[in-house]
Amino acid sequence: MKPNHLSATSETFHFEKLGESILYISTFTPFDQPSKTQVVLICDALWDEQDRTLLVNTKLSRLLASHGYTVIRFDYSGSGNSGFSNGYITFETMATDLNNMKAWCASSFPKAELHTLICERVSCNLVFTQPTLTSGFRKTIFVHPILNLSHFFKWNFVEREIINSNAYSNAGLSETQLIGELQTQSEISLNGFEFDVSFVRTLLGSKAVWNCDLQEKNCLYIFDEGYYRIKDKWKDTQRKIEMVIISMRLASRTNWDSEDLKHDKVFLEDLFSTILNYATGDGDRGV
Amino acid sequence: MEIVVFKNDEWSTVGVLHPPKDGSCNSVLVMLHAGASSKTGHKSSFVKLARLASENGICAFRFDLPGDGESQIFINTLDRVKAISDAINYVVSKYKYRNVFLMGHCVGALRSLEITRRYPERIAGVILWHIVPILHNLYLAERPPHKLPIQRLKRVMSEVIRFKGNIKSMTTLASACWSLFRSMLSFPISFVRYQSKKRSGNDEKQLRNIRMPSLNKVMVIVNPSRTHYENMEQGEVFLKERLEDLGFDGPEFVQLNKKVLSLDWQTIAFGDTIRFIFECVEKKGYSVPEIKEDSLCL
Repeated sequence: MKPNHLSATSETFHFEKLGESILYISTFTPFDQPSKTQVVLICDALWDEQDRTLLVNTKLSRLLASHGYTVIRFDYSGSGNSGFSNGYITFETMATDLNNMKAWCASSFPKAELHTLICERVSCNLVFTQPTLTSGFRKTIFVHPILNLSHFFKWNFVEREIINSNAYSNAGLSETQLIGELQTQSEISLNGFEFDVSFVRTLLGSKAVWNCDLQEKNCLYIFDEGYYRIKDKWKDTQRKIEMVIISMRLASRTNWDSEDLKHDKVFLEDLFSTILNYATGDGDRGV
Repeated sequence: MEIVVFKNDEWSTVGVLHPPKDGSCNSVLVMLHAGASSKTGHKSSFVKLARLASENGICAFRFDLPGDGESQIFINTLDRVKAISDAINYVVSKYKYRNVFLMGHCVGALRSLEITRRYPERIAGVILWHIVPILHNLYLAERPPHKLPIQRLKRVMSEVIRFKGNIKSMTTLASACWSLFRSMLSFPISFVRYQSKKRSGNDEKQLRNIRMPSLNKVMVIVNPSRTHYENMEQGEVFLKERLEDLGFDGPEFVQLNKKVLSLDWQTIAFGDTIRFIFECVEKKGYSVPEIKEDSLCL
């Protein structure tokens, strides 16, 4: 299935003040509106990953819109193009944004059905901590959840801070010392991003997501092929798992027939068709 | 902030304009992001820099380059540099800016240079932030070789084999990759090679003979944390020669590692960017406001 850059969709981009935050919202609607509007809400990744996944999410939005869905994606406050609130990104601010977006969808498309919630990376972890955020949606798709937030945080921020020869590393601190130092401070700036210290503690204290209680709901988990062991670990659960190769970092793609791009093309089609099949299907596919 | 949507028959893009809070301004800073990135920029840097510029009275415009972010390409044969120039022209003419500054990150810096070379009379100054010296570095610099995606690893491997002969193990490959990377720094061609794929030899000679108007200035911000410039001095000499080949005299270099450690690199790079713009504007005879020191604390 070739992603269709339709001209079959209408796209709008705007800032919306929701609560105390100004959020950047992209809306993709089919030109030929179906009789019943079904909304797909895409919750993006955060930090560097948000920048990398935007292209894929945009292509996915256009694809879903070409199949009749009204697709909405947004940037969390303090992330991407959204305005900074008076604080830092935490699970609480993310949850507030997500709830505000659900309310905005309901008011902007009053006759629409909240169909599918698509969460990417840390957005998955947000929903794992607060499963009620999925309420109202028929289906939820988790794309490549972060399995261990503590490890993720250490690798992406602490170690890279050290690698980047920043102020901390010049003080000769090891990773352990740096984490200890961070926990004593009230404001934390790591690898170009600012954090609230309590959120850092939450991230560092987080373990894997094995205990999350969403397997009874209508959810699909999509993992990168490299995480094939997950399927074994979760084989006794009722979770629906799909393994596809997720290539989030797709450079400019204009010539889909190019030999160089063949692999990424396959990855993207695989990911898209998995999501599309689940969103449009009855959702009863097993593992 | 204002959303700007540019669309023609060839492509469309979405941008965000950050006008100064106190109203009109003469200068606009146009930001070109790196490859496989978006208008947000690496580590949200473009958002932060745009806000800083806006607070200092400079309008900032950041947008998705063709094929990235929320842009759409309708034809495969799109001339990207021309397409980007068209989008910039649209904003500049719509809002009537007099001074256009380009700031490019990584591959965006290469594109900034190319736009300046094509339209030297239109660009008042160009800031090259962490310019990529050679395209291969894009995927060598991003992560250690053993973490490279397979298809890119194969491409790197073919390059390595060309230079180093047979590769028998991943360890050897990793070592050879880094060795190759280091050797690239001493190559005499960087962006010239990048362009030469599309240009004939005669065109290349002509391009080398173009001299930039004296008002055009170029500032290069180099960040040692990225592996493009493992050896700062060597990298600086290398880039200076290449820029002079291209007609840019006396490029100014800012090395982030020599700055105060209590500030992070983004803050330093942003401060130098604003200062550079102010200096260029002053040279043209316009009055220059003071940089708001408070606004540097992001």
